[in-house]
Amino acid sequence: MANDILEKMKSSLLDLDMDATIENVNSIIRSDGTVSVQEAIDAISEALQVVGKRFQDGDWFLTELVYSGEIAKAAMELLSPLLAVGTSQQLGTIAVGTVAGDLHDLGKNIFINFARSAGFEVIDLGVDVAKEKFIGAVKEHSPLVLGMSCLLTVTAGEIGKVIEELINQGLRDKIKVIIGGACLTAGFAKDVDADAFAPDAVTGTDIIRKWITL
Amino acid sequence: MKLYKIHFDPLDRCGECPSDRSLLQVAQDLEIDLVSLCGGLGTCHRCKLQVLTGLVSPPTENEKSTLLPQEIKDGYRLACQTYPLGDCKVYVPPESLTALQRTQVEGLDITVDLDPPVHSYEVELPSPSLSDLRADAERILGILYDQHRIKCSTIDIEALRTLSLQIRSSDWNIQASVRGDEVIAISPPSGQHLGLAFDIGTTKIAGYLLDLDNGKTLAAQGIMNPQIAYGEDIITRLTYAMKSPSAAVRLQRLLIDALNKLILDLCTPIEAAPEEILEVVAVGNTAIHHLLLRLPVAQLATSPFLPAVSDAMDIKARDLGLRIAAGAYLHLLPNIAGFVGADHVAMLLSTGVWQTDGVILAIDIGTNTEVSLVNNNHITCVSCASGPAFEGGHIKYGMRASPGAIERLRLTDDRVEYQTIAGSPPTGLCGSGILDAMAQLYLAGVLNTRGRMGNHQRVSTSDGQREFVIVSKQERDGQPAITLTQSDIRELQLAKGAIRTGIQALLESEGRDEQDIEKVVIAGAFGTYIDIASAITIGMLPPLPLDRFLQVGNAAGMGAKMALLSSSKRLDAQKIARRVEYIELTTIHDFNRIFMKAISIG
Repeated sequence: MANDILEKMKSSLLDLDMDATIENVNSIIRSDGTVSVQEAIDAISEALQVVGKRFQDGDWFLTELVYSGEIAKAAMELLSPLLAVGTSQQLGTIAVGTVAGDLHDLGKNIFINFARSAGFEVIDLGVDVAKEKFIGAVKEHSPLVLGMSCLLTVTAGEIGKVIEELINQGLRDKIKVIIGGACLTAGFAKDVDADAFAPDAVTGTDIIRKWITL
Repeated sequence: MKLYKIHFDPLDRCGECPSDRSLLQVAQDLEIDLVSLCGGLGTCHRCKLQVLTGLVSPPTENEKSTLLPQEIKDGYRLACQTYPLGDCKVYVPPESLTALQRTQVEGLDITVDLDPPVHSYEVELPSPSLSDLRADAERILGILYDQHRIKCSTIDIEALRTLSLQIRSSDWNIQASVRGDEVIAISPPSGQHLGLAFDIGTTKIAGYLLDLDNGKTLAAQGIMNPQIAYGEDIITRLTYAMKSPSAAVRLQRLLIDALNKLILDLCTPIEAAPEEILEVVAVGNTAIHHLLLRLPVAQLATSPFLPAVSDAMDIKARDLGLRIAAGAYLHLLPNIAGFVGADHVAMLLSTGVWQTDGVILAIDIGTNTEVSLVNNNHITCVSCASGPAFEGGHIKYGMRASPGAIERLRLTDDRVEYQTIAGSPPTGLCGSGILDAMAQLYLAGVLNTRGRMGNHQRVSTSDGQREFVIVSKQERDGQPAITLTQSDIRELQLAKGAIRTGIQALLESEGRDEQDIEKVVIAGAFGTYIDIASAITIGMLPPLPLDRFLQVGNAAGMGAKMALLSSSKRLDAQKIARRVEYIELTTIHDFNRIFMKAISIG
């Protein structure tokens, strides 16, 4: 029974059916503990792994990635508040933004939805984020991870500048840096001394999850 | 068997045909590239032509059911179903020709009141004497006024350097070419007066050589933009230019060298001399404009995307190293804003849509696509990063429109019927063929609305991804099959999605519905050859009745030619640049939602 409803929720999410997923989440909530909130959250996370696989295999595309992320986000908004205080499975805080000069936020937003659904608290710094704003956010929130997104080749240089500033201010070894965006590569990440490059939102979420649970 | 003479207009080709050969066959004998997907079976209805004079076999039932009654009345027939019964004269409409021949017959001349900024005057100079000790320059300026009432105050320094020798060697009879209050060239009395128009695209450059005296286009040529070696898209190129001053110089040098080569290519066949070129007009997007002039680009490449200069400019062509008349000017039409540059201004100018009432969409499709929405005199525009997919880039078997490229394609059950450029054996797909392929796969249910490739007899898996076989290995005598892969489809979704996003964003910001659009003007080489129905099928263009679409060819090049021939058109261009309101696409409310919808197929 418990497995049935979890499977139902997962498959409604993978059918990209927002209404059915929300209905299934609500029936889990109404089940009074037959299925725990944490089990539901884990199931969403599992479903998103499947999404990632389908995306990497080329079966699914951006649209599916965005919709599944939105559905997961809506489900998490219902579930998160119900986690008993103290038992919160919040994995930790990460800060994410698109670098200065670049206004693209599609990839960044997908990543944020996936990371939130995986249990991270995400501080969204928005687009066209100046170096100073990234540094300020690191100082203020002490996130475990800083994520920088960038679509345009021409703004990729900003990433290196932010990392340099982290080093100058003695913050670099207190934080992991992950970068993503269509114009970037793993080689670029190495060059600018970032800790990882995320080719897509799912891989990115996997990487930061591994960092935290190690 | 009796032979009949068949004359094909407007190609002006003539051949003999026995009564048992169809007009399609005789056209093929004459190397006229009529579109024929079905190979003459009468099923694709593409080889339409009009019988102007002469007797032919009566229309078949097939033709009666596919041609409109009015068309039949006007003499329209399918070439493959029509046999001559006497000498005939037929007209081949452009849409029945494959791409290469279409460019040859497309109208090269434009209608504009001649009013070029450069005028040339014959001047007969009185021989100097001890009683007339005026210097050569002052002598010319004085006589120009005396004989033509033209007041000039200066002579170009390069013209001055050769003038003394020139007037003496041509026996004191010369031509003075005047621009504003400056004499820019002194030439022998019989010389031609030529002008040059360039449309510099991200991928291709078109050049036109015109006679400034009568407005006629004397030569037209296209070459590739060699800057491609430093990035297919404009952003990568700007990034390169920002690296160092020498990188920017290299990009500029490459372009100038290409333009100089193009100038020779235009001049040589018609035995014109580059020194006879007295004026140049160039249009391109803002980035190309800046790279050509070697203006700073860092501020253009990043938000808020500010050009160093937007106004029209006149500079000496020699300052850029263009090898034409030494004193000639290069005129650059104004840019609008962001990446939307003078090429879009030129397109709005030549199509006249900027002065039209009603709701009109004007699209110039290229590696960078510009879209304008004319909403009863209020014009808004966006620039979309559509990328090189429709020029064949990033597509596994994509290629440019050249012989052997599949340019039209149809899928019936498990058979693929296609037409290649020049009828050569297929080697890949060019933009219009790629677009047809995507539309046909969607209509056949091989692609779903999200672009996922499903099952079909012709779908196989290679290197871990699905691909649709268009021409099989067997059909190519053992060469690798020509396919369209799942990743190709993804690239195309992004490309067509970018264009559709631009359209929808403008409609939303102007509070208009797609159905309000009265006319869609499509410019650019790719836009000229696409099948509009296919473009609608995949959702690149809004679903409107086909008669609302107008494919106008290289409208930017036409606009550049107009500006070359007419000073008043240059003023119009400035009005356009000031009037058009630029919208930065990514800042539009709900951009991500619009984009998501736009990348879906259908």
